[in-house]
Amino acid sequence: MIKTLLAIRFRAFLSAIGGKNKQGQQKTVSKGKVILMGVLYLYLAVCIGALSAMNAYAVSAAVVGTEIEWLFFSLFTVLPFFIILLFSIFEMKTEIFECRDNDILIPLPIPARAIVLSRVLTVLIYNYIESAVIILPALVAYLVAGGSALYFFGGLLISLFVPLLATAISTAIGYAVAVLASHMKHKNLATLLISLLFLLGYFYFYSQMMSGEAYMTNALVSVLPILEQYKALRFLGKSAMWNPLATVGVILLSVGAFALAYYFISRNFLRLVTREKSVKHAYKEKKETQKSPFLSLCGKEFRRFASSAGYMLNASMGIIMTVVVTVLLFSKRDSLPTLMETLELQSGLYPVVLMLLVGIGSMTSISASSVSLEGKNLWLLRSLPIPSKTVLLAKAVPHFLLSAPVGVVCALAAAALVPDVSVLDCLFAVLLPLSASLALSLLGVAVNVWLPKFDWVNEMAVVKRATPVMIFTLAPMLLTFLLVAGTFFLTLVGLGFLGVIFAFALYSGVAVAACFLVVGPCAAKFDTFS
Amino acid sequence: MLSIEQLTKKYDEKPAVSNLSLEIGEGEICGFIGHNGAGKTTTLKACVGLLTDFDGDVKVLGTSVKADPLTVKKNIAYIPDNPDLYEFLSGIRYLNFIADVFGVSEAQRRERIKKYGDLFELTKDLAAPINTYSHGMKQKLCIIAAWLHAPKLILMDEPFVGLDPKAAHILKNMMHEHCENGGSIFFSTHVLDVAEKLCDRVAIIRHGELVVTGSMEEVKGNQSLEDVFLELEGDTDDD
Repeated sequence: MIKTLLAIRFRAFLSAIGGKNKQGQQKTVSKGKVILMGVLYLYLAVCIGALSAMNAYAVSAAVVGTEIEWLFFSLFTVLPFFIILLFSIFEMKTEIFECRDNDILIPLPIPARAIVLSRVLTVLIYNYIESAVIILPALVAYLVAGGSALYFFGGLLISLFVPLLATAISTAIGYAVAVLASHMKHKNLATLLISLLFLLGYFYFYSQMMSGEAYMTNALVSVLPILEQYKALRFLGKSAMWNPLATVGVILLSVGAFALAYYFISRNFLRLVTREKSVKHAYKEKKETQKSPFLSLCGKEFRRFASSAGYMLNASMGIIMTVVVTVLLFSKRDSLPTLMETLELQSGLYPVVLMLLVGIGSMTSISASSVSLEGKNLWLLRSLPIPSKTVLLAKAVPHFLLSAPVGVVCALAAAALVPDVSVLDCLFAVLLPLSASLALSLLGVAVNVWLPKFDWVNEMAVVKRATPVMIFTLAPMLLTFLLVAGTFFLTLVGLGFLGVIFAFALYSGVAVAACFLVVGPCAAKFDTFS
Repeated sequence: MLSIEQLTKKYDEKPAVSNLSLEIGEGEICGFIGHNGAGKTTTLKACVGLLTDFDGDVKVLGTSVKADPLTVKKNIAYIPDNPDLYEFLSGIRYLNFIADVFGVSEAQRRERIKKYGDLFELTKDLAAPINTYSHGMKQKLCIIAAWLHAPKLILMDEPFVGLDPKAAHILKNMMHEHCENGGSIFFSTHVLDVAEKLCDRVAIIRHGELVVTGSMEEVKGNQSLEDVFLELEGDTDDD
């Protein structure tokens, strides 16, 4: 039973790669597409793994053989723990309680516990993969830095249990959010706010850990007193070092929490899923303003975006991170002149900061799933007398209107913080985020028309794990790295400004090309969807 | 009003509709009857521009759906077999969205939403999100949306499924009224009694081929439509 249910869920994941043919039927996944996806996932794993390994090596070099060796294991088990926690709350909420196949599965003679287990295991497997990409390279780096093989295996053992604990907690939070939201009028807004509070809490915790001079000098010893306040961190770290109490404690805690969460959700699954969805709102006739089809489509796209907290948080991560980085920049503004002196920059630091902010903002993927999200409603757009190019352009609007202003404001705020900013810098603080947002909002639509998926049962499948979103997560990462690195080296020789001009030209060119792509070939392809 | 000319549609070389030709005039209600998988939905989808790569042509008021799909879509309304609507919108927002797309004036939309909303007893629920609607309520909303821009031709795929007897009766009256005002209706159904009482014309499709078409009297003669349909099914099975 569980095997069949799991197979269904993974088949849905694999179908995200396949897309649809002209008749709207599921395609057999071509070898080329499998290779492309393989390369994309590998690239993502290598990027994250390399980052993790570099940091792990630096930390290991400082702590191996000292009294605070536990700190390494604390940091590198806490990191995936938080990442899992952050991203699987919505996943759990939608995967367990909001799947479209609930109506099909519940009437079948399948125990609720089997349905819940299949869904929890699906998310747990994804979590194990995400966790492994961070922990495994970190542990290898620890060994390379001279760490103990015994502790290495201890770390491996604990890494098998930490995702269990994180999944259990995210399941419990997902359940709590679903219960709370079911009683609220603006449930998506409430869900988003709860999640944003959680996210801010995480960043606060992280910035506390890396506060003060320690951040600049990377001297872990100086943050030790702060970390020591968190006894659980030491306990977690010691568990990988075969401390009997800690090791057994973490294992029992993880397994126990997972079992408890699973038991609790199984018991309440049917009650929550079959609950009346909302209180009735009595309609009172009021004046309705006639809008143009394009404006009406834009309004519909904004409402679609605002209708799902999971969509909002996952697809807007670039926007949220831009704000977070700007705030971090503000909190570290006193250190910036020292940093410039240390790096011996020949021109202002601002071009690098601007590139970084725009690069982070470009991880927004609102438009990259907007076509797939039409799902079963596709017939509506296709049967209405609206040109496909109008439909597709409207899909780029929320992405642009949400990311561009935030990008501009954050870039201007950064300009006020960084020393030696010229008027021309301020001009590009406006132009660069605008051009990048325009290019990426249109490109997202184009990529999604190229690789659509309409037969999803859980919208997170297209918002988080579908190929277009993967491309939109990876391509900006690579581009950002190249642009920031290029600008940084140009800044070293006093020509940082050239990097900004190049990026502006690049994004503007992409915007123009993407626009032609959307109104031309993409609109023609959209006409064939059914 | 509607002219289907030698429509042929294949899925992976397997024909879903073969060489189907049909004419529906102004003021006519045409019932489209056939067993499951006969090709009814495929034909309706081709008529409304949801399918594009088919052979033959479909014309609405002389305009080809292949050559000028937007003009055709402006003159028609389509109700699919399953009312999958934008669940994140409220009923009233959905209707206003449809009205905006078709350029329905504020006064007209207000009047029509009131008229049809009251008829189907849906007005009080229009502020609620569509995801709280029952299947029947969604079907009613879909019908109101179809009538909102006063289309010339309405195409419906199993429109009575999910409707309570009162709503089904209202829909039949609306269909009659629409045709009395010069409009036309082409709809598929499995309910032969409804088709017999409601339709001026009938078309029976089997395995993608039109086996009989004509006025109701021509097709059924002295028999019931059910007898004719079962006879035709039997004949073809014997073949």
